[in-house]
Amino acid sequence: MYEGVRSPLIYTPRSIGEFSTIIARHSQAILWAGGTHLMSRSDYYPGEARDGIIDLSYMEELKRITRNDRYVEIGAMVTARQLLSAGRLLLPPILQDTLRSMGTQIVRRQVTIGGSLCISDERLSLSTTLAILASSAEVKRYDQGKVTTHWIPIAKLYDKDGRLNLGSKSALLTRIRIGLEFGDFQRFVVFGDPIRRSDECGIVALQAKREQNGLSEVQFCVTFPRKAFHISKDIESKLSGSALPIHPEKVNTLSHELVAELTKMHSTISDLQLERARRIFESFLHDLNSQSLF
Amino acid sequence: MKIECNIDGKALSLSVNSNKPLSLILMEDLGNQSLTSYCRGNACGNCIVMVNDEAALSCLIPAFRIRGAKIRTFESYQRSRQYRDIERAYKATGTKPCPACYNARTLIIESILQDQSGAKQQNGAPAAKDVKLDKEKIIRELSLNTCQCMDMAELIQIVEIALGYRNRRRRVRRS
Amino acid sequence: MTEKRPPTPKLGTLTGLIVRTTVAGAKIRHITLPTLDNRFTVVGTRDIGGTNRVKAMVNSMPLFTSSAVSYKGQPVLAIFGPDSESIELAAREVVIEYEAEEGQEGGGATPYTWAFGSLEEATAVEGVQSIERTYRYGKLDTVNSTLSRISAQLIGGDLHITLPTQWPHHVRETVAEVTGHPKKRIFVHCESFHAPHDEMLLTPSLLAAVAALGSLKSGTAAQLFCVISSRRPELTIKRKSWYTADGRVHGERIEAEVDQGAALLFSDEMANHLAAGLTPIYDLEALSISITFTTSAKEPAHFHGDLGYSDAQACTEAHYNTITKLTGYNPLTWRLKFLTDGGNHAIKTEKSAKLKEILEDVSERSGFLRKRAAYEMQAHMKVKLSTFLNYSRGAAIACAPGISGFSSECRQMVQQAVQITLNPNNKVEVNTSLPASGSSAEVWKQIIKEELAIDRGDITFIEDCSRVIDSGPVVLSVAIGRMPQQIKRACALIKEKRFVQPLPICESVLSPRQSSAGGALFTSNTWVAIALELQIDAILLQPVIRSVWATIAMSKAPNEEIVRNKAHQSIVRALREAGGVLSYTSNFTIDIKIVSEGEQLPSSISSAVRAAVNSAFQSAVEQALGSAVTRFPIDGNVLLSAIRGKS
Repeated sequence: MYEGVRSPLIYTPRSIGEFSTIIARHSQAILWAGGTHLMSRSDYYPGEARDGIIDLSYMEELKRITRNDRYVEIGAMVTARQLLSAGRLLLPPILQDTLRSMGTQIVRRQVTIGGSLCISDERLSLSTTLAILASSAEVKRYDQGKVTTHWIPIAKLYDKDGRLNLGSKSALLTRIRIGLEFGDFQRFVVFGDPIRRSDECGIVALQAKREQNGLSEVQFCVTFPRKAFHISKDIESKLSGSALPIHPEKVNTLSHELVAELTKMHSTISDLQLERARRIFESFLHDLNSQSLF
Repeated sequence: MKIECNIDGKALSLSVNSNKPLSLILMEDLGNQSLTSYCRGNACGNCIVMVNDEAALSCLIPAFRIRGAKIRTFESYQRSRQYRDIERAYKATGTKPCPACYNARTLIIESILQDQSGAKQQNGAPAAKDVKLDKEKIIRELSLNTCQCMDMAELIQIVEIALGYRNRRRRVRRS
Repeated sequence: MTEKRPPTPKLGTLTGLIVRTTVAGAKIRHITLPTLDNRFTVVGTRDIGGTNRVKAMVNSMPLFTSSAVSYKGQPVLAIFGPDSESIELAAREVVIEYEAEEGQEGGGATPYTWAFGSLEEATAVEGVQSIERTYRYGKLDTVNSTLSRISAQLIGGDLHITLPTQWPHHVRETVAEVTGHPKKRIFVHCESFHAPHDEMLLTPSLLAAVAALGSLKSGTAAQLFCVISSRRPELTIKRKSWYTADGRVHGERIEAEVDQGAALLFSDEMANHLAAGLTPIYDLEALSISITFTTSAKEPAHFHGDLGYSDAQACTEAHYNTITKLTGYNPLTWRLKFLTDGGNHAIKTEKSAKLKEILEDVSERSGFLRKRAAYEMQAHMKVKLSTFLNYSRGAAIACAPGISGFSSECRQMVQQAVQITLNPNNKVEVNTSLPASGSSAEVWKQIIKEELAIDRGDITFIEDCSRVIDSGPVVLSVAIGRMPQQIKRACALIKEKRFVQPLPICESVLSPRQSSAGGALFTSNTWVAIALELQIDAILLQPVIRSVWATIAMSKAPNEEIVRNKAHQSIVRALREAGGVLSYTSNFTIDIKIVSEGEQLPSSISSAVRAAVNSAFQSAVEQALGSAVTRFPIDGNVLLSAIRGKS
C-alpha cells in the first residue's frame, strides 16, 4: 500500500443475487470481467477505484453456454477461447472468424464476451458481427434497489458513434442469445490494428441469404472504433431483393452511397478508412457475384 | 492487499496494490530481470509469462487475479527441458530474436508448441506424429509480439524445427 | 572466468521519473511542485553541480530546461521516490505554467555545399530536357516499448552507473560534467541492448546524469525506468536533373533540407553522409549539392541507424529509375550503360564491372526484365486498382555501395582504440568498450583465431569497467566495419613480436581514417544489388511484397552466414519501415546471394541494403500505381493520394 494510492477493495460475488447486494451499496464500483480493456488503457495504473472492483470471475452462472433448437445462449463471462472451442459445431462461421480475429490465443483466454460488448466508448469486432446476427443481450438494471431484466438487440446497445448505452448507470450484461438461423453468405474483415492503431482501423461484416439467384435478409454493419458504429438500413433494403449478379454499376453506386452516408453521419472518419471500407464492401459484392455464376 | 502465489518456484506472500499489473509486480517489487517492458496499453507483447502453465500477457493480469496461481517467468523457464527444444531450433536456423524480445518470443513459441504438439489434448490421447502446421494460425500467434527484428518466415521455420525436437523427445520418452 | 556483475542496488533504492514539458515553443513561467515528504528527492537545474548540457562532438543540448521549451517532451525535472506508484502520482501533481514565446522555427544556417563540373556548361547541351522532383523522407511510426533501467549508486566515493549504452565513454564524460563528480571515480557498467535506430547513443547519457544527480542528492541508489527511442531526421530533397534523349544525364542540382528537431547534433558529419548518398555512381558531368540543416520544435534527431546515407542513396536510385523510364530505357540496361569507375566522387568504390555483374545476376534470378515489361502494360488498364480485377504489380531494381564509419573529413571524433593482449598459455584478452556479444564479436573472434591460431575458447573480453578503453560509439556499423580492421592490424603487430619478445604482448590500434584519395569521403569495397516485386492490395490499399532478390559483392567475409542473416534482417526491417507488408504465401522469398572475392575486410552492407531496398520499393510502387510516389514511408494515405492524383 502506498500513501496517496489506496488499494481498491475487491468484491467477489458468486451469484447474481450477491452481485445485486454489492452493487446496491457500491454503485460506482468497476465491473471486472476479463480486464483486458481496462488494463490496456495508458492511464490505468496507478489509478484509483474509489468504490472498489467487483470481480465477476466467481459467478458460475455467467460462464454457461446453453442451446436449444432456435438459439444458443452464452454467459457474459465466457471467454472468446472457450466460445471458439465449444461453439465450433453450432456457431455461424462469421462468428468463428470474428472470435479468431480477437487477438491471439493468449489474449483470447482472457477476453470475455460480455467485457468485449461492454467497452463504453469503443466498438470492436464482436459488436459488429453480433449486430448483423439475430442476437440480443440480457441486461439487468439496478435502479434504487429495484432490479429489472431486459433483452436488448445487440445493434440497439450502441449509439451511432458506438458508445454503449445499457439504459442505467448500474447495469450488468449477463448473457447473449444468438439465433441459429443465419444467411449462407457471410463475410467479415478487419483492416488495421484495432488494439495498437484503432484510429486507422475498420471492421466490416455482412451476411445475406441467397435464394434462387436473389438476395434476401441482408444485414450489414461497419465499425470504426471510437468513431462510428454504422448499420445502413438503406443499403440493406437496396440489396435485399436484388437479383444476382448485381450489376457492376450498381455495386459502384452502392459503395459510394455507403461512403456518402458515413461521411454525413460521422465526420471524424479519415479518408483512408472510408476508402478501405468502401473497397471491402465492393469486394463482398463482387464475391457474391462470382459465387452466383457457379 | 496480501497475495499468496508461487513465482518461479518460490512461494511468496506479496503486499501490493490489488490492481497492480503483474508485469510491474515482477519488474519492480521482485526485480525480475527477464521482463523489460511496460508499454501502457500498446500491446507490445513483451511481457509474456506462464500462469498456471499457460502463456499470458502479464500487463493484463491484476494482482487480485494471481492469488494461488503458479507463475513462471523466463528466468525459471530457461532452466527447463522445454526451453532446450527452442534454443536448439535457434541454433539450427542460425537466427534468434533480439535481446529486447527474446524472452517473450520464446514463451510465445512455447505456447504454440504446447498447442501444436497436442500437450493439452482433452481426451488424453497422445499427439499425432505429423500434425500439419496451421501456418496462418502460427503467424497470428507470433504477431502478438510487435518487435520487428525477425520476419515471419524465420519464426515459422524455428517453430517447425522446435516442434520436431519436441515430438522426437516425447516419442523417445514414451518408448 | 567468473562473470563480474555490477553492484546490485540495495533496499532503499529510489525510483525516478522525469517530468517533461507538454507543449513546444513556449517559455516556462512557473513550476509548482506538490508537497513531498523526505522520502522523495526532486532534482532540477538548480541541483546541477557542473554544466546543464549534454555534449555531442562540438554541439550540445540542455539536460533540463527551466525556461525556454524547445520541444514537447523536453525534460524539466526528475522526481525520485520509494516506488513507481508514488512518483507517478507526485508527477501528476506537478504544475508547469507556460507563456507564449516568439516562433523558434530555425533555419537560415549556411548550407553545406559540394560541387564538381560546371552546371552551366552541362545544361547548355543541345536537346537537353529536365526533370525536377521533391522527395520527402518523413518520420517513422515505430513504437518502442522496452523499458531500460538506468541506475546510479555511490559506493565509497565511487559512482557506479549501470545502463545500456552505445557510448560508455560519453556516459562517463556527461555524468562527470553534469554532476561535477571526478571522472576517475565514475564507473560505467554496460548492459546488453537492442538499438537498431541508435536509440542508445545519447539519451542514456542524459538519463545517467539524471540518475546520478538523484543518487548524489539523496545519498542513496537511484534508478530510472524509461523507454528510450530515437527520431529520424526529416529529409526534403529537391533534385533537378538535365538529360538528353540518349539517356545521358548531364548535370544535376540537389537541394536538401534536414530538419533535426530542437538541436543540431552531428550536422557536419551528417552532411558528409548525405553528400555521399546524394552523389550518383553514374556518369555525370556536373553536380551541385547544397544541404541545409534546420531546427524545429521537435525532439532532436540525428543518428537513426545511420547518418542519412541510406535515405540519400535511396533517393538517388529512385530518381535515376525515373530518369531511365523517361529516356525509354529499362533500369538495368541504363545502369549497365552509364555506370563508370570513379563516377561517385564522394565514395571511392570498387570497379563498376563488379557491380554490373551483380546487377545482371540479380536481374536474371528475379526475371526482372520480363516482369517489368509485363507490368508496364498495366498502364493501359482503364480502371487501375479495381476491387474486381486487381492488376497492380510493380518490379524494380536498385544498387548501392556499402560504407561504414565516419567520413575522411570527420576530425571531431577522436580516434578510438582497441587493445589486444596475448598472454602466456595462448590466452588472448581483448580490451574494447564495444559490446562483446552478438554476431560482430563472433567475427572478431574468427579473425583472432585465424591470425593468431588461438582457440575461440581462449579469447576473452575485459569486463572490468575501470580498465576498459574507449573504442568510440557503436554507430555506423563500427563493430563490423572498422573493428575487424583494427583487430586484424593488432594481431599483425602481435605476430611480428611473437616468439621474439616475451609474453604478454599488448598492442593498441587506433581507428583508421577513411582514405580521402581523390577527395572521396568514404571508401567502399562492397556492392549491393536488389530486385523487388510487389503488388498493391486493391482492397486494403497496401503494398504487399511478393519477393526480394539480393546479390552482394564483397571481399571474403569472415563469416558468410552472419552476413546473410544480417542482410536478411536489414531487408525485412527496411521493408516494414518503408510501409511494405510482407506476404507469407509459399511464393514469398528473400533470396540472398553473396559473391566473395579478395582478401580485404569488407565494408558494411547494412546501409547499402537499406538504401537499395527502399529505392526498389519506391520505384516498384510507382510502377504498380502508375503515378509518382515521392513521400516516404509509403503508407495507405500516400497510396490514396497517388490514386486520387494528389502529390
